[in-house]
Amino acid sequence: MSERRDKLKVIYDMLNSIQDKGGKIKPTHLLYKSNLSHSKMQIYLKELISRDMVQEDFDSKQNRVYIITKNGIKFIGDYRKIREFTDSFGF
Amino acid sequence: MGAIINDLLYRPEWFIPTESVFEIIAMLITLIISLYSYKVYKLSSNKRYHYLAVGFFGVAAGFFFKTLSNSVLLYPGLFLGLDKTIPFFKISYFYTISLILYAFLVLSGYVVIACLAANVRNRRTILSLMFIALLAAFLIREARSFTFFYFFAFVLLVVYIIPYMYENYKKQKNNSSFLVYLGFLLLTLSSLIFIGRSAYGIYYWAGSYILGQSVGLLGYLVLLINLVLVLRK
Repeated sequence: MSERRDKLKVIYDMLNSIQDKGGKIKPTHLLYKSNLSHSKMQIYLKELISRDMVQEDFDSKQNRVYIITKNGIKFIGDYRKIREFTDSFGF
Repeated sequence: MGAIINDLLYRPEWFIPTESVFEIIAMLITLIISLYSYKVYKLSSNKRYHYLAVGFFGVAAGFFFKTLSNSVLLYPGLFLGLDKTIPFFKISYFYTISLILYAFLVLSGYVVIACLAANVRNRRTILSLMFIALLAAFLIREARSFTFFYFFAFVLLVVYIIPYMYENYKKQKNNSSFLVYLGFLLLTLSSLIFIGRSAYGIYYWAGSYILGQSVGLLGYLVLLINLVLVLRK
């Protein structure tokens, strides 16, 4: 598999983790769920924020949280379709 | 029709308009699969989907030329005028070249998909298969026979593509991989019907040609159903 494909899978796993948590997740939970190092997760988060797939926010206790956006939800759907298509041909 | 061009396909004349509709449907299906494969390649950077897009595009382009050759038979009047306006243009050459391009492009598309399925990376092997495709295409004119075309398509499907699709279905065990396997299985059956038709000389039975075309179309429709189901999820 190519490097880019792996990257897509990481992004999917991160976004899926946020969605599984009701669309909002704390950085520690995301770190645990996405199975990445802290530095790697920061790089991916920067990209997700720049692509408007994730928004950074603060909860009532002023803890940092990440919220999935419409673009992020769309990416999850698109990725599942691509995965289904690639699985059907198996290449 | 017969006075202008001798049809190389030994098929019932009344079936040509219906067959043209079949070819257009098959062309659109393979083009859609090609475009979606290309989209997958652009998003994932997985080069194998670039090649899959090329393979299906080859098949789609082949069907375009088959439709063109059929239109020469259906509407010769449209092309007769070109004899006088374009130097060296002959309607019979146009018909034959369209058929040769059809055969070569469809077989080339199958070669690409077969090489993907069998993970063939050796350029000489790929080039050899392409030359066999070219030979099969030229034999349509030289031997006035489509037998080798159908036989080579059958070999590519049975030896390379079908075993891979079956293994993938066994691995994935889901509806979409089954549909892709079934689609290629129907295309194989279609080639087998055409081989039987030409090998046993049952040209006189119009039903064999119609059956072969219908099974082939069904194969492409199954591939389309898979794509629609994937995109609807």
